[in-house]
Amino acid sequence: MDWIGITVAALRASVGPVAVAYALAGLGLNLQFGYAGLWNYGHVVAVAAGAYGAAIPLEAGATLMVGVLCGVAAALVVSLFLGVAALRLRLDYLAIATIAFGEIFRQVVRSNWAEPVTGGVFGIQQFARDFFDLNPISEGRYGWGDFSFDHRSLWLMIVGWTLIVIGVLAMYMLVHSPWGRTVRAIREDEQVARSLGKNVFFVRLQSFMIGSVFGAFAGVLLAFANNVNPDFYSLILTFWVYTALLIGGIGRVLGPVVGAVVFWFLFQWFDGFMQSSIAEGWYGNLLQTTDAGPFRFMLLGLILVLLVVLRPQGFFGDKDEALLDAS
Amino acid sequence: MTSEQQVAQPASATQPVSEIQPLLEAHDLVAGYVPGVDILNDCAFKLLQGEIVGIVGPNGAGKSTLLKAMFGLVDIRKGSVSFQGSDITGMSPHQLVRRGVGYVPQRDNTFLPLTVQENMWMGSWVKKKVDKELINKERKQAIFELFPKLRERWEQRVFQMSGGERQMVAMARALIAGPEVVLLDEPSAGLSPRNQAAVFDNIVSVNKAGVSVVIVEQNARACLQICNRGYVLDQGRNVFEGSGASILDDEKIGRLYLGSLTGNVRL
Repeated sequence: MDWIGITVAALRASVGPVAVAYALAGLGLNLQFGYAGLWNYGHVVAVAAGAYGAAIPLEAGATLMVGVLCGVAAALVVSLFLGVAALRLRLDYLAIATIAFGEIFRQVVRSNWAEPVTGGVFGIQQFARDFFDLNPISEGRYGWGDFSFDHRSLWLMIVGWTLIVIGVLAMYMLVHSPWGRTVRAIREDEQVARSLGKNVFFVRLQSFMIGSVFGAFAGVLLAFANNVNPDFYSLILTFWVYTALLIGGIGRVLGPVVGAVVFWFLFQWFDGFMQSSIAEGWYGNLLQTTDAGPFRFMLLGLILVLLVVLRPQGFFGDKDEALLDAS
Repeated sequence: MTSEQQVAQPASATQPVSEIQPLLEAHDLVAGYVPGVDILNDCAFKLLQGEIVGIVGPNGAGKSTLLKAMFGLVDIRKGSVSFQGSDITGMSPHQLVRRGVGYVPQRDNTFLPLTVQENMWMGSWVKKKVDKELINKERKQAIFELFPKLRERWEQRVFQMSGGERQMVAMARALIAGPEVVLLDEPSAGLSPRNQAAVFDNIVSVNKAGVSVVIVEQNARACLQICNRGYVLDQGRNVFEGSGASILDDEKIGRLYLGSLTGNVRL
């Protein structure tokens, strides 16, 4: 078995464009779920709105800046709509409503009816030329041995990691501001916060929309990396971001970034390991190479369960906050 | 020293209640939670500047609902509430806090994972600008004078503190915004007798510092001892109103609404 090859491939995935997008989406979800306590299981809507919001005008010939701004604006509009409709619900109902909204959004963009605008089931391709035209890196592969990236991936990573640095700094300032303290306080006790004169609904809506902006940037980046395909934005994306967030630790600014890196390392490593071990016949006739995919989900699930039981605060999470409900 | 001796002299001590402009007043209030079921039925209430007024009565009498209705936490179906002479009926809590009304909810009324200091900031950030400076100076000093224990616990998270200390934090936090009046919903609930006495002593100190106080209490006798006036509610209606002492001395009221003990009980 090529242990080094598997590990290097996993390392490559852990810092690659998709992991970067997950880290950005996780930063937003951490504000909504970790700090504001909003059970948003429809975070994929913000990511998809960002992707479609950018891809549609870019394909129609808009400039890159207009496209990106449209992506963010689309996520803001969608989250405003969802927030006004759903944030008055009790938290468990909010979870149900956001799950439903996530599916509705995907079904609408992939429908025949929407095809002239969204491309329906085919999605939208070849719209990111302006973004890659700005790439200062000349064509080729860069890195050490197998740990190397082509010029397109590298450009996506440079932009993405820059966005993460800006996002982490912005998030740090946000959650350490009086506004951030209000957000945490509302999570702890809505009634008490209200008694202190906090406009609970408005603050929740703000945190929901700001979280969606991070999701939108993740969506734009994913769209540049992989084009836009409606079935990519299914419910599972939200839960992967949640898993990454739980690994890194909720309620900590760096949690989602570390979580996304670790998540993609584990995900890719298990995939490589299962592929190789099945190919080498470790399990006889019990498993085929096509079984490797489902297996990595099972192993990730196991890790998630162990993590929640043994270290619920994640790598960087705040134990006092994570366990507070039990105290 | 008993709390009775410490009570400040409010406006009502020198003039009849009916002649003075009330600080907080409610007229003919009808309010409830479930459509069609009224908890308050034409309830009236008046608080004068500098007073401590208690609202007592049996379980389900509507005491907490009256407080919540005046603070905008329960929808008012009929009647009106005024504060400093202007109508505040139906205003939301965040508007009332800015006008100078503070409210301390019943039990579980602090943010447990936050430190004492952060809890105080939560109470202070009610206006457009951050009142951090203010906390660091005058009000912080005033809070420490009222609650010396909070000085040593300033950086501690609230979930590490006892019930009595948490109540202290909640009260201090309502005061840090500089309110004219604080509405206290069962401040002694769930506390040991020693802590209950401390809470009532604290309320008297707060009042002496110039803040008018409304208290809703199950612990009626202890509460009425520190009150200038009191209201007895039953089934959402006023059934008796008078000075704290007169309610305590009324044998019938005592028997019907305050339990079987007679006479004043020292704190």
